[in-house]
Amino acid sequence: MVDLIPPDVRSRLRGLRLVTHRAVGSHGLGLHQSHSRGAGLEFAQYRAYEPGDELRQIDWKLYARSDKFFVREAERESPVAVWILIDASASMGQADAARPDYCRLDAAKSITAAIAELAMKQGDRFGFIALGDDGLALLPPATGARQRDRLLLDLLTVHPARGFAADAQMGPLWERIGARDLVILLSDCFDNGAVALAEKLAAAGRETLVIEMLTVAERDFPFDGGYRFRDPETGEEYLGDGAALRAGFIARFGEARAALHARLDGAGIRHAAHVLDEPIDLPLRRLFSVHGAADYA
Amino acid sequence: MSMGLLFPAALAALLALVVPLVIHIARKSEQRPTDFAALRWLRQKPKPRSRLRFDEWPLLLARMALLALAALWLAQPILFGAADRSPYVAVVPGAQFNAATFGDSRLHWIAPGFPAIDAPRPAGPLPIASLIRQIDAELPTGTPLTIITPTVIDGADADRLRLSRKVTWRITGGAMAASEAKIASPPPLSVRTDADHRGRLRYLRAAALAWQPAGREADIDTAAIDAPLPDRRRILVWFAGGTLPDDVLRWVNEGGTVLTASDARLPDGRPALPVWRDDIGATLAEALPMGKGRLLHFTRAMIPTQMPILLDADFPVQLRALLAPTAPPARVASAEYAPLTGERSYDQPPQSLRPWLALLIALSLLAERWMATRRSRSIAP
Repeated sequence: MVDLIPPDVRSRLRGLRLVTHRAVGSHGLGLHQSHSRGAGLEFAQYRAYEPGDELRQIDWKLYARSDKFFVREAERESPVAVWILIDASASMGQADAARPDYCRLDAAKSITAAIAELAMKQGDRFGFIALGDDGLALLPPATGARQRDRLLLDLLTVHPARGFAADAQMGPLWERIGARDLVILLSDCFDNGAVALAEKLAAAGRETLVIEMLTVAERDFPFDGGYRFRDPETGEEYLGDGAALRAGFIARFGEARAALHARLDGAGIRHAAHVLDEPIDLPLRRLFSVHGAADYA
Repeated sequence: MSMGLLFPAALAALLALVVPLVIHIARKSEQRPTDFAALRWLRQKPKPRSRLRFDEWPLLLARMALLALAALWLAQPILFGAADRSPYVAVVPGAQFNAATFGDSRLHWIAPGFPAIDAPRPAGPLPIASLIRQIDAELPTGTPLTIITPTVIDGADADRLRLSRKVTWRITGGAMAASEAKIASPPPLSVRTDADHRGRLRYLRAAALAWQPAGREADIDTAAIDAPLPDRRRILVWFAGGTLPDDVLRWVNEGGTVLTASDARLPDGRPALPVWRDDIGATLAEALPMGKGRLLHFTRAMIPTQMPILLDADFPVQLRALLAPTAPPARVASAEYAPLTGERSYDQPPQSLRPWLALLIALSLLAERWMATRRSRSIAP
């Protein structure tokens, strides 16, 4: 299997923790304690009785069968599920000329894998939803190495659809994302539906983060000469000369992004941008670094 | 003046006007296609995609005009009645005239090609009458024609001049260089004969003797057919049957005259022209032009039963006329040779506009190239 996380990024991920601001203190102690065994609903394992265990934890039926003391352990569910929402619209299939086999969606998958890695390490449940108009790909949240592998496998089948998922298709999303879950949306935010979804999630009390996926072309506009620009979602085309369009595009795109940031900030959504030529842990550092986002701005 | 097309079907080439349009529209595919999701910030306001846009329409127009001109050129445009109608003055070489008195008229020598009056005076014998008829036929109806001639014209022919217009016939002093028709000496004969025809030589010999004044030898030599051929000024008499040898044919082609017996085999495939008929109209000899020379051929055997004229007293005269025709008289007093009118006039050939159109095409091609390659041209719309 292709490793979605480059080795250097993997080493840098160690210092990161996924922190949700709203879930703190609601369950248990400290940060969302995840892999703590003890009383709970979810059966985890039997283990041999050790002196000091509470008597009521012993499984007496098993003692009747086996004449040995076993303690029934349950795993307490982590209070937080990390949801990774991947925009799978056609615009996410855009790559740069310098690296044509690495599109926005590939970067989003890498970031997803990195988040899953982090969540698995701190014992949080994690799942993902790919939002394309040809149906949602959904992996219910769980934790553990098996869940991570399943997620990596499922990611392989995610391909750019034509557009962003319609509102009518969002039903499973609202059914599954719990009130205190952490939602990370990976999208280019060109589609109003993606931004609206983030706003709705934030308004509904989910802690929502947005990672804006940008290509190098959108940041630098390195085109020179005649080009036929094509919008992969609408199929609309525009003929233009790169050099002549550069200044206008960068100005207008900057304005549009400023407006988007204002909108996200207004909804209380933290956001970070990721450009395809940057390391994929950079947006995560901007969002989750203990030192604060300022260091990585 | 009116315009016309000699080949209107060529206007179908105007369909080629579609080509630059199609190229113009299809040119969009030449630009590198690029996926660009942030398209809506690329331009000021969205435009409908299917709108037909014409960028650089001046260049497009120039190219289409170029094609239209080329199609018109193929259609061979012509202009009727565009010929010059200014007065035409034709000068017979030798006439005295003052060019200044003719103002803006066109002055030309009457000579083949009608050189302008600045050209040196044409020399040599000229078919003046024929040239005057040519001028008349080539000038549009109504163009005034003045002919300046010396008192005597050398170059008249047997027919009175009859032209389509009234000609100002001005007789001045001066004289044409008279082509003095000198009394031609009798044609010298060189006979090549084989044994069969030797007996018929005596008629020739008698005629050659008759051409000479009394007391002089006849200018005739006789040899066998394998003797070398004579000088080309002499007339070769080939009295032998069978095919003419190649060297004889070559000799004729290079300007000689040969007279062959009736049983000589002539080269095939050439029409022969009867040149000598007897009293009852039967052909006695026919001529065959070959290269620069000519081949004369008796159609009958040269014996009195076949050619009774051999015994006629007129035979030497007629034979001499056959071998060396005398020039017809060509000198005439100009006053008596003033052209008559009444000949039909000819339609003037229309003037082709192709050269001018070609010039126009070249200019518009230059303009198109300049527009297409100028520095300020934008790389793309």
